[in-house]
Amino acid sequence: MKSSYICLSRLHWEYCLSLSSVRLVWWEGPVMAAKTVKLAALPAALGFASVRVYALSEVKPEELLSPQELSVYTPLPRQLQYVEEDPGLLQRGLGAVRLGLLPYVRAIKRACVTVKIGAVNLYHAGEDTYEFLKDPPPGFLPRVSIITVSGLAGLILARRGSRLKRIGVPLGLATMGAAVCYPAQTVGVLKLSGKKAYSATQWASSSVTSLWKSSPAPSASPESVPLPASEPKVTPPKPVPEADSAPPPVDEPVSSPLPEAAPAEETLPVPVPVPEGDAAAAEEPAPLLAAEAQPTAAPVEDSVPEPVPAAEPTSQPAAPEPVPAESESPHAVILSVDTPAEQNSAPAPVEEPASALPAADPASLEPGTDVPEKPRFTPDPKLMDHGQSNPEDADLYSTRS
Amino acid sequence: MSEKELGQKWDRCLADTAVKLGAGLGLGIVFSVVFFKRRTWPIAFGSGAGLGMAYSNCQHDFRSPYLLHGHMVKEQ
Repeated sequence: MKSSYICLSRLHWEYCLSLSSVRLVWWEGPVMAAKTVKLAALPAALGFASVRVYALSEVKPEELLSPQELSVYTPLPRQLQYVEEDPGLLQRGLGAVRLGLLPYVRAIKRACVTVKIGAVNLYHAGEDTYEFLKDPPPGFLPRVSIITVSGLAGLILARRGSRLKRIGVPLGLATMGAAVCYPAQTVGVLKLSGKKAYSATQWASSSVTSLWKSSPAPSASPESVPLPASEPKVTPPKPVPEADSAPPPVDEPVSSPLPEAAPAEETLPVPVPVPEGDAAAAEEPAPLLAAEAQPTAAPVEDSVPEPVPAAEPTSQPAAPEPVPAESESPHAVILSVDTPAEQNSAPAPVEEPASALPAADPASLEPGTDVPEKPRFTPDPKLMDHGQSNPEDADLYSTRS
Repeated sequence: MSEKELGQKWDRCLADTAVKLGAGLGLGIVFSVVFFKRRTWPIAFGSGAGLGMAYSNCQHDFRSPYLLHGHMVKEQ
């Protein structure tokens, strides 16, 4: 039998079902009556059930926001900040170990890179050698055979000699064979090695000289200022023997400007030191100015500040040696040596320090001012562009008109 | 990436490797002793797993130059 009730909710539906079921068996008696009462009481009990309702003003958990609290226009700014992680003990210890090993790791890396570059260069050199030997130029094989045969001949000749002889004789004969087969290259190599050896000896001698004469050099500086005013009053006769003695010591295997530079050396630095006998001070400037221009001796005589001694450490070592004994009349030396000095050409590197010297004139001529020692930059002659005044061509023409 | 940041990444990476390798090794030893009658393969497996995880983390860290390691906190 279908129930005709309209059930609004599940409870109501169950209640209806239960009622319909009860109506079918209503004639069963008191048991059913109790059941009916129980079922009827259920909706009544539900009617008295209370539902908890929260009011809007009550406290809510902080993380929850009601829709009314949300901003309609812009979102609320989040007040947060980023904090980097704090490294732990293990990480800090590993960092300290890494920093300690870093220099060694870098050194090993550099060594590996160097080895790699060397290996690549070796490979390319071998490749080039192979290409060269695969198709050698004409005359190469006979020359190589001559050099080899001469070396072997030396080995045979010195087979019963000492160890030194057994090494030196074959090498010498092989070198001679190479010189015979390649004369142009041999001359070039000898020139280059000769120049290097010469500059090395110059440097060594100048450094030894400077070491010997370093102590008397500072005492000359305060007395350099009044010298320009008193230069013309220096005794004239004295320079004559000095001029005569200056050239002889300069007779050395040096380029031609250098002998004239020797007396100029005496003149250039001498005005700066006191002419009262600072021979050691004069020695020091003299070798340094060996390569300076003689034509500039005239303007230099008024100034020659102490920076000039600092220039040209590679000048002749032998030239300044007689200077100390003859430094008493530097100014007269200048007057007497000017004329021959001007006639000779000076190498280009000399021009630069010479040009720097007039710049120092005002400083040196100012009365009452101390000329402090300033290190001056001296350009390397090998790196300079001499133009037409190459030191090798010094004997060909003069750079001064 | 600056030298300092690279160094910090290396430190983090090495520390992580040490921790994971140690944990994997420890777990491998435990499993080997408890379950596998002191066989060596659980130890090798645990160490390898730990090392692999650390390597993967390091790789990800080095390939992400702008990856930050930190956390957000409320301003007080």
